[in-house]
Amino acid sequence: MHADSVPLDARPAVGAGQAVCSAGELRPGQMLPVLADGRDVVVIRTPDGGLHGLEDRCLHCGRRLSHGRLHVAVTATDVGRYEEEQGRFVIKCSGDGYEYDVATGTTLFDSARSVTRVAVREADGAIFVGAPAA
Amino acid sequence: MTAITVDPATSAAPRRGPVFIDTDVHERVDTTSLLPYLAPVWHKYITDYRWVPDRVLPYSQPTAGGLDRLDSLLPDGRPGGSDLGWLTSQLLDEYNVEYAILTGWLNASAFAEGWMEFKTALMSAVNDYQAEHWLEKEPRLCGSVHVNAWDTEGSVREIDRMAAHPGFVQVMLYVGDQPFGHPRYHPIFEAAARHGLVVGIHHSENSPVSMGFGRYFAEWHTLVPQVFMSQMGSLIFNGVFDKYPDLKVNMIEGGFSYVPHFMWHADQQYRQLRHEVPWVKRLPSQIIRDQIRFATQPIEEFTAEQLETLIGQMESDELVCFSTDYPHWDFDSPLEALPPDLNADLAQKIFYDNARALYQRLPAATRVATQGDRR
Ligand code: FES
Repeated sequence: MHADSVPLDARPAVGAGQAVCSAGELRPGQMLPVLADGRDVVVIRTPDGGLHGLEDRCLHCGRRLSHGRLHVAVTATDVGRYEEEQGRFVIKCSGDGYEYDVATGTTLFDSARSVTRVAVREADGAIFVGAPAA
Repeated sequence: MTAITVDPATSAAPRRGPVFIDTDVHERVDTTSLLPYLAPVWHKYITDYRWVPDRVLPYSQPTAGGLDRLDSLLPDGRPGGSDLGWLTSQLLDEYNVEYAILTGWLNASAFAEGWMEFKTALMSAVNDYQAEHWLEKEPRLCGSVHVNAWDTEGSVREIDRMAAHPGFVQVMLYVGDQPFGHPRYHPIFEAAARHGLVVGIHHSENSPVSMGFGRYFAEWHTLVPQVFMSQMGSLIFNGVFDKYPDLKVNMIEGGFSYVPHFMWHADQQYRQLRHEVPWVKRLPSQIIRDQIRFATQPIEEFTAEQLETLIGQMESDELVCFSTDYPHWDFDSPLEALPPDLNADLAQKIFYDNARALYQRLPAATRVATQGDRR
């Protein structure tokens, strides 16, 4: 269920507190765009099983983050030493490539810029989207 | 060497203009004067084999005095900047110079790579000569440690050696055709930062612009800011400033009007491509504001409004330091280079405060620096 495989008009549209899919439908490494209570949200299942929700709109030109790619974050402790940050995942926007930490919504180029986090939870075998996280 | 006698009537005239720190003054030494500072093994290359410094510029500097201001040429035929008395009269005593930072003429970093041993020895001789004949004779002069960047180990040794002399405030790298961000040069930046020495990056006649030298001097000289943009891109994206957060770099003889463009463009690249250069931890514009400064010369003929707008676009009034480039032909006079109605606080920062903050090894202030009369 990669985001690219979900036509926009096929996005699940749910009201507050309603399940968007069953837990098994969103597998590790997948993203699901949903219209939750009139709000565009991307629900993210990271490869390590973590579940995150972000507003599905890039700060740059407003593309859907759910159309981007989910990667392990890349860092370096010295010039030329590429390292993957285990346990930290980013969405790289399909446009000019802004990177967002999926757990915080913060861009990797400027810690002062973030997209809004949205609370998501898994319960009773389903995934629910709630209000924007504090 | 013949000393030039300066007319006392001239030297006693009151100094003119604002108190300032001059961040680009070229003293000059001919290679035969360096012989006492070179091991005998090198002498014959200068005395018999007539070694001359690399110069790849395919034209002359087509001005009345060539590279130098015509009135800076000495009556005995030597080039401008060759004589302390003459330099004192035309610059230090003519204007309100508190300190002038010497930037030299002979710098092997802008030569081709070969014969490193000789060129490294030559840089040591230049530094010893500079200390004895300039710095120790005139307290208003501050020195630059010249190094041969091709020889990284030799450069670090030279920086460590000369840092013991309190007159040196800077390490000098002239630009040839190599970008200095490459990791091979990093130990030079480490050594400079460790000693509190600024790294001055200075343009040279051996710096091509992006498509070579062009057919005409005017073409090449117009595009000199490209060289500085290349160096900034190289230093920033090769992580030099992240690796050495105490490092300060002064970009000398390229002006500064290209800086807002570079900041905007580099920030955009970083926002889009950070994952390729993950050792870079700040937006390039922030790195510049934290760690890079710009000597003014050759400043364009701005109106006050244009200059204030430009500084506003840089989002800091602490990045630009005044320089004359004495004795070169496009010398900028402190009486005329800045628009007369420029905001006084900004003028004070450009003439004095910014260089004082940059050069940590400058001696304490000798006078209260004020804007004063700029005419
Ligand atoms: S819309 Fe996301 S980077 Fe341009």
